[in-house]
Amino acid sequence: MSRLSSTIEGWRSFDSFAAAGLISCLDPRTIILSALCTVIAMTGAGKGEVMVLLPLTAFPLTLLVLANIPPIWLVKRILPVLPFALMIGLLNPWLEQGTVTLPGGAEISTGWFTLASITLRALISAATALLLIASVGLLNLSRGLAGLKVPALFITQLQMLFRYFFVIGEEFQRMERAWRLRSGSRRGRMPLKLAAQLLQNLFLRSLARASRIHNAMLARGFNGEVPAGAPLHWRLRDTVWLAGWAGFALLCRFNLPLLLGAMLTGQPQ
Amino acid sequence: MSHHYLHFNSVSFTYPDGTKALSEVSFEMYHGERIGLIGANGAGKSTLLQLLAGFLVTQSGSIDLGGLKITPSTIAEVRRTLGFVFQDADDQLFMPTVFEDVAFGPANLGVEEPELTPLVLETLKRTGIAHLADRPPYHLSGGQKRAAAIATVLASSPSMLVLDEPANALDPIARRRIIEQLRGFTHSQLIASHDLDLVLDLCHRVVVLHEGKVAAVAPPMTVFKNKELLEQCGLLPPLRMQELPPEGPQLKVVEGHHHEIAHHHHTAEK
Repeated sequence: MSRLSSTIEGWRSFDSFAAAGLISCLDPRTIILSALCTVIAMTGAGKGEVMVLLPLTAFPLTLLVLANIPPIWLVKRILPVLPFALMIGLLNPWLEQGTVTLPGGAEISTGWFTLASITLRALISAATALLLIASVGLLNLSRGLAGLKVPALFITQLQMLFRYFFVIGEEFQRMERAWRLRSGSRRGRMPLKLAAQLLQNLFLRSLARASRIHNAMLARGFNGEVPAGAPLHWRLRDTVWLAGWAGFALLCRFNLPLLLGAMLTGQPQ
Repeated sequence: MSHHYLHFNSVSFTYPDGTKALSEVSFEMYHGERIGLIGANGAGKSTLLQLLAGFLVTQSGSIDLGGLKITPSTIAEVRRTLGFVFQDADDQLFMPTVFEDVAFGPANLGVEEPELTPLVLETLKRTGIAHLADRPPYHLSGGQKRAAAIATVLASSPSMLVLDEPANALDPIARRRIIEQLRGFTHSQLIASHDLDLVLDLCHRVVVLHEGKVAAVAPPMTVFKNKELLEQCGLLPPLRMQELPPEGPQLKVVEGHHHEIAHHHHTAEK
């Protein structure tokens, strides 16, 4: 299997995790709301407040464990985010004027904390978004969003975007395979000029394919909204889960960092 | 009024680039009938199906489905009546699992739980793919995909089936299974296909399209025996009606192996 094929297969496993694991026992709205609490706590954290952010990694980690998702699967998918985050904050340690005294007495630039904060935010956001879809499944996620009164137009757009990603992937896979079969003695990377030409072709092909899929949907009564499926049921365990994560996020935002700080520095709050 | 009746009445269609795809096409299909739509590439089969599905709009003439004229305003009703099985099953299967794909049509038509799940399971059972319910469609074999595509359509309880190349790219056993399945359905069926053996096996009548016009409407055997007509329309008789070579390749059992075709090279024998 080519690298591209295995990448597409890997991304497709998004939906296959959703059926297994303890997360599938919860109402999708619960997971969406608890993810939202985590994100709100994260965005509310100050510029270099790494200690607020660190405990928040517990949320994606919990999803990972309860949904039985292999950690390597997640690592492979969030690593591409890292260069972008580093690019944004890489110069901070040198550009920022402020310093922080560490417990040993050494002084370091506050830029190191902002760099760590940017990186952590990027990783938590990417992991939470990926694991939300992976553990709940796109269809259940859509049902959950519909249950939270998110406009149907937005939900349909989300579903179409997700499917279109695979349509493009599959079409590119076919073109790349055809090129490889006829590339003769050339090995390795596709020439840039040819890649640009193929890209043009790719959009036309994927558009034609998407239009055939759309026709198939129309032929089966699609009217712009994907049916919501079975009704959702909010249970006690959903309330417990949501209350737990909302409380944890609140604690992280206001108290836990101070407690951790006091523990690390040995100073009273 | 029976929705199993279809009438193409002098239908014409020209694409914006000036290509005349259909010209004065007329034929009828009756309740429970299976009609084969055949013709060389570019004869107008796909355009005809697209008009029937409402993806294209008739420019002149009319298409009547049990008294309901197909127009943009009636298309929702028409799609409720017709079940379209597309040529490429990958285009038809777009949901994460086979179950969800089969549920898509009835759910759009307003079927809700607790009726939806038993309906889907029953349809899957009927098409022999109940064991594939939780599988992602892209991991199925060609024959399974085709069966799933048919199930997605049957779940909406259509009165009429429209199938574009139903046995396309299937192995002989899967092809035979699909033929038997289609034979088992009581729906009226319009089957567009280049597989003339399938048409001969299944269809009561054949509509031959040639350069956008109806060249003949007759029982399959009548059409396929007419060599002049077939030649004129760029077609060949079904394989089973073609003359076989007097002596086929010989089979022999090679020890430790399965049957193998023995090639006799005249030069070697000499």
